Amino acid sequence: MTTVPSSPGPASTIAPPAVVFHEVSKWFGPVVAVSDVSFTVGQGVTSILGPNGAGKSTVMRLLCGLTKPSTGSVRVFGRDPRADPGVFSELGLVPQQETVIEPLTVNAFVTLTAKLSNVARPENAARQAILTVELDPDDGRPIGAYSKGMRQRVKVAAAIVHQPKLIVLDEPLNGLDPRQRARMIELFTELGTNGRSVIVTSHVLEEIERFGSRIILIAEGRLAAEGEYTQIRALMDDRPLRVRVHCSDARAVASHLVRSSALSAVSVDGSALVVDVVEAGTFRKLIARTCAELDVDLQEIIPLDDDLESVFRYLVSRRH
Amino acid sequence: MTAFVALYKLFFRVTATRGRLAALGLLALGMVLLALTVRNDQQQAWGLFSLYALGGLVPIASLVIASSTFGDLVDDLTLVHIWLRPVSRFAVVIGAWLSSVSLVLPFTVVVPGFAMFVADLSVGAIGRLAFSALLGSLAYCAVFVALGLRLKRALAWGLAYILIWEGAVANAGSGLARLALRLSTRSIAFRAFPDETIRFPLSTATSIVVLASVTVAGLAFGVRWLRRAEVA
Repeated sequence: MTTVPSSPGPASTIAPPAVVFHEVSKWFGPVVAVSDVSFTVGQGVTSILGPNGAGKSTVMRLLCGLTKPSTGSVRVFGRDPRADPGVFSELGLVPQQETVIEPLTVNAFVTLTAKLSNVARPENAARQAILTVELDPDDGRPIGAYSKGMRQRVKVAAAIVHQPKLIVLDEPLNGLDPRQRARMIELFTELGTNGRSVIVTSHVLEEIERFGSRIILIAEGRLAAEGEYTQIRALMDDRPLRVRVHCSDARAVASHLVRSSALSAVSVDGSALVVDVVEAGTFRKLIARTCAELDVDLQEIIPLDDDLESVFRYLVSRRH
Repeated sequence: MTAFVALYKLFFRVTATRGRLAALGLLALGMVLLALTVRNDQQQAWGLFSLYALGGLVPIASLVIASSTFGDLVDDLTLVHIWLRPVSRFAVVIGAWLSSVSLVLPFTVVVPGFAMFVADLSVGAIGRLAFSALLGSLAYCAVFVALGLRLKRALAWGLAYILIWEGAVANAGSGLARLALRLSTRSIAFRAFPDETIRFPLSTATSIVVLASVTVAGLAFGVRWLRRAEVA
């Protein structure tokens, strides 16, 4: 695993971790969903990032006690969420699936969750939570008539109505329009800065970037890296990558580039170059300078393996 | 207590769909109509109650309602909204069971009791019949609430259980028949009739103990399975 040294804030050095995963594995029959994962989560926003099928949702389910680890242990505020339902007074989850109890109105549903969480004034708390996610508490329509984005916000309201110390959000921005995304990101960040622990999963790096949070990278069921966003981003940028360069004289540019240590291989493919880049930053400057010197028209640089999956594959491969 | 009442109301609302209530209402109405044809004939009234109420209405109404209290939530992936709340699993299962019992009793006790009133049975006899149906409903509901948590397509499995085990095995008269709930309910009910030709091997006390034990066991398994549930 790649651990990027981070500087925890004052709160995280004082408060005990909200979540402790210790050597947790989970398999379903022959399929290993999570393999030997250990991490802790303190106050503030923590993002769990990984491609689809990486095991993020299984980690979330383990964290909330919805499934039992095959080996290892999960503790939330020092308690086993699988065995102690009392821990749920401190935990709120926005599950990935969009299903809610459809015959109920938003007010009835959120009030119900408040009552089940033993909130003192459930009706008031429900109204407040519904307003926080910019829905109408007096809307008489059943939730079944709501759009995907509105249902998503209903789930967020239900997750925060009892003001838990730990809020777990599994792909919470799915189905939201850009304005709502911005509002939700603002809300989650605000919750994280008010002494709570907020855990968000996503497979979209740009979403995570906006949280500016600590990141736990999961790939192929394993912990690939963890650290602050900027450090993880740098780790990703420093990896070898393959690019296609379209320019007016590919052969001339190739003959100049071949001696550079910023790349490991270069080949000409018709009117384009295919370059295996070792140092992305150095290569960007080099290609611009070379084209200028040779008076070659640089038309386009296309990353061939810049999708998140290939980034994660690279980070996992560093573990071996 | 607030949480428990909220759970009860939720289960009641989610389970009581118009389709289910209409189907069970029609089934119950059929018994009242049939009761009109057996007036002043105790033998036939017994046959109607034994077959239609204890053999049909009680297990089927319990199955349709009780298996869907958790079954619906498991099927549409909404169980997570209940599971993730600081409520004891015992309270959740009791809430589900009580809501299904209160939905089922009008169809399994009130309507059959009224049908026997239509058939001119005495109040004492009707009371005993209603008591047998009540105990049967409590036991079946406990079993089917638990099965709704454990099995996908609990309705189909429950129907197979009612037809094969409760229907065929209980009527076979073998030792295995003693394990069928229907034998216990009929053993309590038949004493409402002075007909000496009707005999069942279980005493009233034994039948009550069997039905109460099944109820407790069903609820205990429900709590155990909810605690161990893999929630999607």
